[in-house]
Formats: sequence, C-alpha cells, structure tokens
Amino acid sequence: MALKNTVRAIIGLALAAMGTGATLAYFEESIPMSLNPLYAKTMADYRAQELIFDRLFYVDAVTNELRSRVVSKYELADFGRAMAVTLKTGIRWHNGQALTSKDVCFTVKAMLDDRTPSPVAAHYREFIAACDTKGPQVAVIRFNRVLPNPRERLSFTILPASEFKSTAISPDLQFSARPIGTGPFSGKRGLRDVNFDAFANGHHTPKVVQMQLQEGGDPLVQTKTLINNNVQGIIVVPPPQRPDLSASDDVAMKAYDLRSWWYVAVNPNKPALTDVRVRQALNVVLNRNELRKYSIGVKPGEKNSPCEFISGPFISASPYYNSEVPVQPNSNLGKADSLLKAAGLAKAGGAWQLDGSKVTLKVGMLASLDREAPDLLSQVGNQLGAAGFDRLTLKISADEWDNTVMAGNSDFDLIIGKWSFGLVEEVNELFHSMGRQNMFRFKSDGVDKVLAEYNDAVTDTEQRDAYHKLHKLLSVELPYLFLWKLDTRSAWRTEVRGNIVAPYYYFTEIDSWSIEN
Amino acid sequence: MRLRERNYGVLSFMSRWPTIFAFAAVLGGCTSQPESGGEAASVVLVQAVPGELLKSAWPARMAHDDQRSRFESQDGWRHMFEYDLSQALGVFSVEADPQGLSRVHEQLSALYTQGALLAANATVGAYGVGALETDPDDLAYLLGVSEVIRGNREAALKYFEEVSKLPMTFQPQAKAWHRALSEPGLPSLEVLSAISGSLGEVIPGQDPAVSPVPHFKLLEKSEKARLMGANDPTALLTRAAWHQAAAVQVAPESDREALGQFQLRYGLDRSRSSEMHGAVALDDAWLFCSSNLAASDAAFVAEAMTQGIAAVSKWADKSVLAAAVSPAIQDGKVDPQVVMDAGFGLQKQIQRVMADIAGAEAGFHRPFAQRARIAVLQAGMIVADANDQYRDAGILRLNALERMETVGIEPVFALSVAAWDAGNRSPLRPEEILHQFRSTYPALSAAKAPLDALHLRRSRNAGPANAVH
Amino acid sequence: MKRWWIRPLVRLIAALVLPVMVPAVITGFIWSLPGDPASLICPPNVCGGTEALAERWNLDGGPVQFFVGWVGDAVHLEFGNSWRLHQGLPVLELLSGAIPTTLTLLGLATVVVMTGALLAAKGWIPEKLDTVIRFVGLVPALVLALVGAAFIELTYGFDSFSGSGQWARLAVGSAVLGLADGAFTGAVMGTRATFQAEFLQRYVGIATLRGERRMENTLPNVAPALIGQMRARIIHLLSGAVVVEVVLRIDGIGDLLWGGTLRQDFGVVLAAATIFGALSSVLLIGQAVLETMVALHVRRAPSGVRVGEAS
Repeated sequence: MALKNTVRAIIGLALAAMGTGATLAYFEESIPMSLNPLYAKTMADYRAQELIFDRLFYVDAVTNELRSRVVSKYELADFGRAMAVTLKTGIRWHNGQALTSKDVCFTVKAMLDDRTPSPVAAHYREFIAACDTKGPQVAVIRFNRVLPNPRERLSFTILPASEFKSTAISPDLQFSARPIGTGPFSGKRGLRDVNFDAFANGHHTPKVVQMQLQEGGDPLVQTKTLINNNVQGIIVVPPPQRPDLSASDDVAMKAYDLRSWWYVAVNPNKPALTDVRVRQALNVVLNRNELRKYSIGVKPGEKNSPCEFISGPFISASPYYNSEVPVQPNSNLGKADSLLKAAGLAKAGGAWQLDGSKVTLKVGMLASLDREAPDLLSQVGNQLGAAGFDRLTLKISADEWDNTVMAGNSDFDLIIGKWSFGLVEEVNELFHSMGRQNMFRFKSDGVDKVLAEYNDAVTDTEQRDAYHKLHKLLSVELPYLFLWKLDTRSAWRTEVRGNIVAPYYYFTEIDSWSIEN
Repeated sequence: MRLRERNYGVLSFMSRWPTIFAFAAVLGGCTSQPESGGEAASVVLVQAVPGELLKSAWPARMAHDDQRSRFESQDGWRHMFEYDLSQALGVFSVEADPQGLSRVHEQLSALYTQGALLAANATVGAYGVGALETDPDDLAYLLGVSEVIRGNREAALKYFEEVSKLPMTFQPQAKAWHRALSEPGLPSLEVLSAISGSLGEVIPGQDPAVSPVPHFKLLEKSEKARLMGANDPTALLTRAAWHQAAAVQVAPESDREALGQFQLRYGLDRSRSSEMHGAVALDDAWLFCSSNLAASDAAFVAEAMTQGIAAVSKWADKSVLAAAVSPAIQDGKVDPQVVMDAGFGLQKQIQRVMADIAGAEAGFHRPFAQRARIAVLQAGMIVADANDQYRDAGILRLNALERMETVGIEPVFALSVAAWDAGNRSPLRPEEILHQFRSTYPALSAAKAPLDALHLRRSRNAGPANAVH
Repeated sequence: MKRWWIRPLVRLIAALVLPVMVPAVITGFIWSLPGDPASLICPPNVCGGTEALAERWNLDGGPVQFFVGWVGDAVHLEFGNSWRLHQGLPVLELLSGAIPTTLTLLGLATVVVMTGALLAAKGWIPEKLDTVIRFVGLVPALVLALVGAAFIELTYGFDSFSGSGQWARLAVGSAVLGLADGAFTGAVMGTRATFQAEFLQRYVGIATLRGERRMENTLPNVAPALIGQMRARIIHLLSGAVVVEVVLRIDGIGDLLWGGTLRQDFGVVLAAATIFGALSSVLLIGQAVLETMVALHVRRAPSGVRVGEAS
C-alpha cells in the first residue's frame, strides 16, 4: 500500500512538474510560529496551515458557496443537535494513511480535551459536545444545542489521529514544525523558511510542485526582489510600495479581503493613565493625519485611500461601526492640556509630571508592523514628546507579543498594534475584563454590561445596537486610541496563473494556482 | 526549477560595495522611474486582435492628438476619465454637452439599477434565506420587490399576495407592484414613482434629492421589540428610471438606439438582449473611457448577454472585444485564464499601436490601454455568465475589479460586483464597495440596511474566529 | 618554575566543571524569575491550564528535579523539542545544524586572525600599515555586521538563506569576526610586540651571531604567551560570534542562544549555552595540553648539546 502511494505521489508530482512545475517563492509577514492548526496565532500561521490541511467545510473564494473537499455527504441528526458527515474515500494523509472518521473524532476530542491548551479549540468547546464514529467513513459530531446551519460553524482543521499519542496536544510537539495533513502540500518548517511540497491526493491536484515561504525583510528590498523575478509573490505589500509594483506589467496586485484596523492600546493600570481624562488627552495629542502621511504615505483628503481613520474597534464599512462617533484626525494640544491639568498632571519645564515625577511613557509596537507602517512607532513617540511626555519606544517581537503582551504581563504604557478579522468581527475578547486578548486587563463595568447585551442578543438588530453602544463607550473610556483601517494588498508575478486569493485564509484555492514556464 | 533567468537580488554579486553605502539613494532613485517601468523583456507580446480592427478601438484612436484634444479640453470628460459621475453631471449640465450629459445619466441609471440589485440580493440573502422567527411580517413586501428585481416574478407575486392578506404597512405598494407585474418588463417611471414617491420632474443635468434612510422602521417580533430599519429597493429603481429618462431626453435623436444598447449591459430587463443587434455608428463621446472599445462592441455585448459564445463567433470579425475573447472559447467553454491573457495581450498591442501613431510612448498610453484590458475581462465575464459558467465568470469579474485599482474603480461595475457578491450571500466586499461610493452617491445608502443584516446573520452562524495580529 | 603543572591543571578542572556549571546556573536563573516556569513559557490565559505542560516539561518538581532530569537526558543526547523559538523542532537537530556552522564561522575567522599573527611574526606586514590596521580594528563588529547583512540581503534576495547565500553569509561573517573589534589588529600587534620584546633578549643576539634563526630560538619561549593570546582571541571570537550570527542571521549556536534567551525558550538556551561552555572547555583543554607540551619541551635536555669544559 505504501509503495502504491509513493508511486501515485511520484506520478502526480511528475505530471505537475511536466505541466507547470516550478518553485513558487514568496515573502510572508513573518515565519509561522506554529504549523499546528490548534496553535495558530498569526495570519501567517493561518495562511501556511491552509496549504497543509483541509478544513471540514470551507467557503469557495469566488462564489462564497459552502463546500467540503473531504466530506461527500452530510445530514443533520438528533433533531438538529448533531451532524453526521460521511468522508470521501481515497483521501490520504501525507504519511500515507487513509483519512477516516477516527481522525475527525480525534480532532474533536483533542479540541474538547482540557489538557490541549489551544485558544482555537476553546471556541469550539462552546458548542461541540462530542463525536462518535460510525464505521470508517462516518463521524457524528454532537452539539450542546440546536444550531442553525451547523455546517457554517464546522470549519475546523482535521488532524491525523495516528500522529498523536493522546488527545492532549501540546504546542511543542514536533507536529508543530513537521505537520501531517491531507492538504495539497506537505510542509516542513526550517529555521528561516518553510518549504511546501506538492502532495498528489484524491481531492487535491496542486499544479505548483513546491512552495517556499520566507519572512520578508525591508519592503523596498522585497519589492525589488519581486520585480527582478527572484521571488514570485509578496503577501502583504505596504502602501508606499504599491505604486512601484502597479507600474510593472510583470506584477499583478491582488486584493486580499482582510478586515484590519490599527490602534494604540493604553495601559489603564499605570498611575498616569488610570484617569480617563489622561487617555482622552492622549487621544487628542495624536495627529493621525500626520502619522498617516509619514508612515503610510497617504496625504490628507486623498481619494480612495487604502487607509481610513476610525473612531472605534471596527472598520467604517462594518455594520458594527457607529458612524455617529466622530474620528479625531488632527491633534488638539490645547484640549489635551486642559484635560491633563484636570486629571492632576502639571507641566514643569515643558514636561508633564504626576505627583512631582516626570511622566515617562513606554511605547511598544509589534516589530513586524514596522514594515507595513514604517516609522509609526517613532512618529507616535515624537508626537508624545512634542506634547510634553517623556517617552521610551521599543519594538516587540511576535513571541514577546504572544507570551508577554497578550498574557497581560507587559509593563508598556502604550502599545501600537493591528487586529485582523474575517467575516466575524467580534471584539469581546479584546475589551471584556476577562477577555483572553485583553492585553492590559482593562476593566469597565459599563463595557462588560454592553458585551453581555451583545452575547444575549436574540436578533441581529439587538446585536448591532449593542456594538454601536460599545463603540460609543470605548470612544469615551479609550482603552485603545483607534487609528485607522488599512487595506491589505498582495503582489504576485504575472507568471503565477489562476491565483485566486481567498478572504482570510488566502490559499484555499491553491489547486488552481500554476506557474507559466 | 525557477522562472526564466534568475537575477540574483537587486545588485550583482560582490562588485557593488559602494552601492551599499548609497543604499537609500539607489532605491529612492528606482521609485521615481517613469511609469511602465516593468516593460520587461520577459513580456510575451501577442497580437490579440487584427491590426485593422484594433484601430477602431477608442484607446488607439485617442493616440491622435486631434481626436483626443476634444476630451482633454473639457472638465466633464476629465471627471468621466476619473469615473466621478457626480462631478461630471454638474460640469456637463453647464458645458451643454448633450452626449456627455446623456452618458452620465445613462451611467447613473446603471449605477442605481445595480444598487437596487445589491439591495434586492442582500434582502433575499438576509431575510429570505436567512429568515428568523423574530423578523417583522412586513418584510414580505421588501422580499417581493427584491424578487422582482432579481427577475423572479412568481416568487414576487407570492410575497405580494402574502402582504395583501395581512393588515400591514405596505398593502398599497404591494398592490401597485402586483398590478405592475401583469405587464412584461419593469414598471415605468410613473408607476415606480407612485410606489416609492416622486423624484420630481425629469430635468437633465440634475440629480433628485435623496430621502433619508431608513425609509421605514419595522417592529421585530422579539421580547425587546426593537425597531429594525428597512429600505424599499423600489426607491433605487425609481431613481434609475429617472436618470434613464433624463438620458433619453437629452440624447440626440440619432444616438437613441445606441443608448438603448448601452443600457442593456447593466439593465435588469434581459428580454431585449435576446434580440439581434446591429452595430450603430457612434460618436466618440459614447465610447471614450467606456468598456465598449468600438461601436460594434456595444452590439456584441448586448447579444453576448443572452447568446454567450454564439455571439463571440458571430462578432469576432467586427467587434474588438469579440475578437479578443474568441481565442478563449475552447470546447464550448470560456477559459478564464485565456481571457486574462487576451486582455493583457490587447493592452500591449494597443500600447504599441498608440506609440506608433504618436511616434513615441506617452504617459497616458498605458492607462488607456489598461482600460481596454479590463474591457476584455468584462466581455469574457459576460460571455461566461451567459454560457452558464458562473464560477469562471466570477473569476473574471473579480479580476476586472482588481485591475481597476490601478486605473480607477468604475462605480457601476463595482456596484455590479457588489450585487453579485450579495447574491452569493457574501457581505464583506459589497460593504467595502458601498462604503466607498455611498458618500458620492448617497441614494445608494438604501442598500446598506439589508447588507448589514446579511453580514450580521452570516456572522452569527459562522465558525469561531479570534482577532489575529 | 618548578610547579609548572598547576596552571594546566587548573585549566583542566575548569574545563570539566564548565559544561555542568553553565546549565546549573541557568536552571537557577529560571527559578529565580517571578512566576512559575511553565507559566513563563506559556502564560495560563494564552494556553489555558499549564499544569499538563509543566508536567510534560518536567517543570513541576522544582529546580533540582529539572536539572537532574535535564542532565540525565542530555547525556543521552535527548534535549527535547524547542518550546518557542522554533516550536516543535528537536533541539538536538537545531544543535547538530548549528554546531558545524558556528565551528566553520569560528574556523574561518581564526584563519583570518592566525594569518595576521603569522604575517606579523614573520615581519611581512610593514609597520607603516599600522595606522590602517589600527583603524580597521576600531570598527565595532555590530557596525561591520550590519553593513555585511545589507550586502547579503541586497545581493541574494530570496536565496540568501540557501546554498551560495548561506556560504556568503559565512564568508562575510568570518571576515567581520576576524577584522572587527580589533581581532586582526590585536593579532598583528600582539604577536609582533611579543616577538619584538623577545628579540631584545641576549640569547637571541647570541643565537643570531652563531648564525641560527631567531624564530627557532624564540618560538619555544614565546609559545606559552602566544597560546594564551590565541585562546583569548578565540574566546573573543566566540563571544563576537553571537553578535555576528544574530545580525547576519547565520544559523549557529550564538543565534540559537540569543533567540532562545529572547523568547525564553529555556530548553534551547540550556543546550546552546552548554555547547558554548563545552567549546570553552575544549579551548581550555587545548591550552592546557599545549602549555604542558611546551613546558616539557623546554625542560627536555636538547640532544647533541654538551656542556663544554672551561678553558
């Protein structure tokens, strides 16, 4: 059987190589932190994992149709409290074994296992109760309540039972670097890159033989490398580089539907920032027009700008965005002064002091964001300095971000960051006092109450109204100073054909990608 | 194996130490290269359409200074070039350019037609497919109107009958629609105005005032009994009909037939598309910056909308677009990748022709030629749609929208993409598109409420997701 | 000096203690940090419950249990997987890739330094070049490494981590390491000064009058000093290698140590630091052996030499 699979894989690869075979090299925002789907934390993680694994159900990137590459049949059971999925036959894991219902149920059980410390799994525990197998092809996934359209929720990635000793899956298993999936590519993480090799399978026929992911460095170097055909794609092209790439007939810019907004999170636990008036003062200290101009390259009033100011935790096009809350495009230092004085701060020698000590703001920014918005950190620092704040600016590594900042253990006063969303734009975890992503443990009874309203909402109007209220409340309490939404654009060489970019997951339609010889 | 020749990095090996020290200067210099810097040796140039035919395309003809100067000298055409219909309307009404003015009204009519389709698709997606027990009963009327717009007259009639059985707000409108559906085609401006309110006398050069949204507030059948904002898509149809009337009113008598052909591209009434169309002699005012590269393209597109690949073979020797698309017809199917290649080939071919005519390359050649490329993608999309290749048409549709980012987004086409997306129950891209154009064309706000509802309902049922950095 | 063996013996003892002491100190450091180690590696609100992780990583029984367990596993070359730096990759695999890289880097840099020392000893580097050599020595490794990194990135682009790009990184890295921070300058000046001081000795003058070569006479006497200098220079190169590997993104032990420390990947840090300790031990042992050989050589009665009778 193993020999048969090997032969099949070799033939598949050979055919692909004869057809269009070539290596597709691309620059990512960062090296994926983990290739284990249970531990995806960054968009780079999600994108890389999409190449290696199959999700139970996925959405067609063109027609938005809900489909599955692994399920041949599904039906509701137990009066809507369960769904029986019948798997297609002939699907092989990258280790040669067959995909069975045991794998589906193993994945569900691993997600339900408390010893699997996965934030991704935590969400599924909210509505999945159990999974039973009925023969090798049928898995019955049980829910804790009746769900409308349960298929839409079952977008989890299937893991191979044979690769794990138990359902307790820890992040440091070798699987995180050398995963086994049923996706179109087998992946292997190196120290500086990730290599993906096409894997011919019953349900995938990748035309690209090999893909190579590398962390992009300086955006200018990335751009020139792409134009010189030393690399075939860049996942995230910062706005200043876009005109150069658009001017080239050898490169095509691709829209990537990702809802991203930028913010400066304020640490309300720091003595100087506890008073809401200080946070409000900081909000009017920032001159967003200047920040945008110098870091993104967008001038005030520019039409069809990729970067639009926001006043709350949603992009302006979102139904949750409360357009009654105005944005703050320019600074108002006079207002800032009076707010700070009202909060008990005093200005001595041009510097703000609290209880006789100079206020020093430690400002951090996720290091990788510096490529997308160059110099934003120093520009924010400069504006704070000009307003009379002593400041210390530091870049934060992705790992420190996850394990210190997101753990609520950082001692920063201000943190510049970006959040990205897909269809679901829920922000409860960011602002609820017990939220998993509440980086400074911001606590507000008012906010918690509104978030409870959101959770209890029966109709979408109630839900939207709750978030409109939240938006308004946050614009007063200001745990974040909201900056802007920024469109995401990729660039690929024109030799790369059929490159449909899926919203959020990016490589969902990778089977259609090819390279012109 | 890698692609073609590999040029190592930006600099060649080892001999460039001094360049490192001048790093910023070198790269800074590169960014200010003249446009079309990527005219690389690697580009494979193909002759997409016969040379003689190509010369009839407006980008090629605009390479002649004398033919172009007419458009360069008027602000109205500058706004048309930038796809700013709102500004162009104001300027053309002052400059007394009947053809320009008629074309703007025709475009605005198409814009609001697509806005209505967007609202209709979102309404059905949210309140029809995604109906909840708490939805107000009055939504049946909005669903009925939406089904009319989507061309499902029988479904619409059922909804209108449902409305008439219940003591609800929309009985008069539902009855009016019911009556109107006894006639083929969409109702006239008068009928529509009677349903959604009059927009006033049709005066070319004007844009009627927009009534505030939401048009209605409906009570939800939930414990909290919240008021749900709802808008009648009829209002958008009425506005479209108003602009259509204005376009006809101001268009010279000789151009009326052509105007009829243009309206088919984004129109809802497909019955006329199945007719045979003849090429109409056209002034450049109808073609400049449009997706019809030559006069015969309008007729080809009108036929292709229902006849698909049959229209391609029929028009291949007369229409630039048909000629460009024809290599993509393989085994009775449209190959989207070949359409894309043909579009790129046509762009390069036009650029060469323009350079030949002008004696040298000029800055405007590439953006003009890129519009021709987009026109090919749109033509391929129309043919694929008519050929029941829904997904392939979608690929071309999205590709055309992407290519527009370089030359400016055409609002009518963007709205049509939004409407198509909403028809697929995909709310994100339509939201972005609507947000982009809502401030310039405030009447489009009528589509926002159902689109929001579609997003919220899809989101509530979607798989779990975290905010990700 | 009769007790010539004391110094090599001390070096030998230090060499044996170092590889055990380094992980012991790091283990102590881990437990001295506020909070329990498992939570440091994966905070509870990120990972949920960390008890299972603590048990899996042997962090639940205190520092002694952890240290003993780690040493026991290390003896069997079992270092576990990287917890954070390269999540999931076996540390042994990381080390087996990194050790040859670092040794190659150090080896190439040592060649640069040794060449300088050799040329200086031979007097083939004219003293009028001293100003230039001193100037080169003033450039910090960090600055030179940054310039080298820019060069590599610009020249190799996407290929800078594979094949020729990797070798270019090593070549540039070793050049930086060998030249910056006074490594080459020190080797040239130090060796020349040592020899020049020795040449002033009377026995050298007599040997010259007898027609013997100066080098042959002086080398055994300056060898202990030169060996000491060279060990210090290699240690200097070893510490400089961390900076060079990090800036030039060379996948060596220094880079692992730096990355592991930054990301609190203690499994990687323990192993990488121990390897660094072991490398220092090897150098100490080498120095001890050479010192012993020189001591034995100078104490050995030269053959063919007889004490002449007083006339």
